[in-house]
Amino acid sequence: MTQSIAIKIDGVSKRYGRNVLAVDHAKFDIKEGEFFTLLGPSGCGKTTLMRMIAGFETLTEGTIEICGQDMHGVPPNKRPVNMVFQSYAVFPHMTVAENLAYGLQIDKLGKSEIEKRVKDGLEMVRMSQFSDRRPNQLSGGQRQRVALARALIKRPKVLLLDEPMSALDAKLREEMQVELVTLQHEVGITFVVVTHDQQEALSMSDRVAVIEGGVVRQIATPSELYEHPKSKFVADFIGKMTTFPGKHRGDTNAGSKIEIPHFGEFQCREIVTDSPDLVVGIRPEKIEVRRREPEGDVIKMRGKVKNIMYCGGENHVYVDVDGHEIVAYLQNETRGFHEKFQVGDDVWSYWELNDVVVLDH
Amino acid sequence: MRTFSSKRIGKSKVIEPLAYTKRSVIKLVIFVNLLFLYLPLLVLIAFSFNDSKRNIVWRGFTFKYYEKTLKNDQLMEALTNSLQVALLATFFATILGTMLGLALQRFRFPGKGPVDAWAHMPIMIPEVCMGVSLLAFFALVKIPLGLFTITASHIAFCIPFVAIVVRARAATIDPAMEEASYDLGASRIMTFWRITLPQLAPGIIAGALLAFTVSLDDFVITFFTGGPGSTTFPIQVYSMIKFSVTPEINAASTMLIVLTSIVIAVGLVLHAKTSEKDSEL
Repeated sequence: MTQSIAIKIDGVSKRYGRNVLAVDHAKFDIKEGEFFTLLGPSGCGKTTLMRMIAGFETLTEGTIEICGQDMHGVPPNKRPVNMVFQSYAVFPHMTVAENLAYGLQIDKLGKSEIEKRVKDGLEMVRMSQFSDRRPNQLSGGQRQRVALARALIKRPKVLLLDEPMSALDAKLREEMQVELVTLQHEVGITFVVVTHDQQEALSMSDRVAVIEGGVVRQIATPSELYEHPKSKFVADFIGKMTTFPGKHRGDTNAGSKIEIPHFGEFQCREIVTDSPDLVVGIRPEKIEVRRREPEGDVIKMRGKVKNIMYCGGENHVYVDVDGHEIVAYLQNETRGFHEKFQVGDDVWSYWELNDVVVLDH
Repeated sequence: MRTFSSKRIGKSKVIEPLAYTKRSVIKLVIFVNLLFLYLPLLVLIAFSFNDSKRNIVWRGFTFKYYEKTLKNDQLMEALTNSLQVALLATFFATILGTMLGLALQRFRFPGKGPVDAWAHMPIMIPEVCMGVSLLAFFALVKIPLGLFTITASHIAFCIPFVAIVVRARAATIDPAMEEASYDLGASRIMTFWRITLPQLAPGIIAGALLAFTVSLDDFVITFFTGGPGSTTFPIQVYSMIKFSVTPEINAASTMLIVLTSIVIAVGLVLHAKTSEKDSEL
């Protein structure tokens, strides 16, 4: 199935003044019907990129096409996109229903059509009983729903959401994440979400673009991003990862040969790299820790337990191996799969060859 | 020797450390202050009902000086002038002040610093200076002094009062509101009328009421910029006092106090209503 492209971002840069390059040659496509997330630390340029799509910022370089149309010179009120703002920007002097109707009135739709769409919109976000309320009588989550419905009933080609969960408390956040994904499946509109929360990006998105310092570092599905991050930045930003400096020692039929200085050589799936220096990483939940030396074809390292953090569902065990710190997340279960450790214990930490990730520096 | 037993603490009323207004010494200070501020006004109002020409000794209750005041053509004409000037000055100062306040809050433009500083000069410089300079200006451009020059002067010094209030209000409005409206398809002009202005309204009304009261009781600038036939209420009262302080003046002043009090009360009620509405946003 070939999906058509909703947004085509082609060589887009944004420069503020002389020295600040907020977005640096971004080039990627967002497919129609996709739940696409722009993920990055604060100040990485993700919001700027979204505001350029919405039309609130001009482009220094490049083009943005929405549904095949170049958006150069098209003001925000003429673009086929709508935005849910971080602060929700629900108009305080209008009721919930009036807020929803506002965008439709501007489109000069008929009165009955507006009424019908407002009613449907309120039902969609389960806010029907609040239609006559004023925004100051609503909770944060309810205001967010109003903002969502207000944008969605305009039936945009693309819905932009700027940090949609940042104003909600943790419990509500998870609920709204599920709700947002369900809603997106229902309406079938392309969603583009800006967030700095990696968990949120992983759980909601079809694809995620990781941005750092204005540069798009990697675009991939959540699982690809987590299992096979390309760079150390992506690996660190999404989840946790223990890393070692490694050397590329040539390729064989079975894949590439990698050497971790002091720890030995191993095979991994074939990699493409320009320099022999690279970084080898391993996710903490893939690491096992035990007292007895493990057998079989695993990578194993001998060390001392340095620290144990109790985190409820799991224990984070920090093992010191010749000055390297290895972090392992061990399930906090009582069925006896894991031994119990104390700080200072001599242990082996080990993992499967397949679980090793090779990053370019 | 007195000991601070638990019994004593139990007897005396416990006052929270920060509940200053509950301490009797502070209550007294507040009372004396209020007395100092309002006693003259109370005396003035009381004596407007005094049935005596001299206005020194209480001789009984009467409304006759109110009657006299209302029949005093000169005073009534002055009041009409004052109201006319105040309403016109409020109208124009509100529009111009709103524009200035919004521009200073929202936009960056070349020369914003100096404009910001100069626009608020009329509040800071002594009224005498303002009066003299306006008089000199009107003489220079050869505009005859009268109600027109008074009104123009009042507009000039009322603008910054409106601008300050509107600007403060504008600062509380989330800029994303306007962007959201724009994003939903509205033009800039429509966004201004339907989103910005309604949210700015409490500030504009408060600014207008402030301008109205400031204009209504202005003496110094009016004195300099007025001419024959353009006597305003404060100036008329002043000229009457030069002859003698009659209860008529008291009655007229009381009426003015009531009028401004009503205007201020309306302002406060509106403010309370809107801040209640905004309290959670």
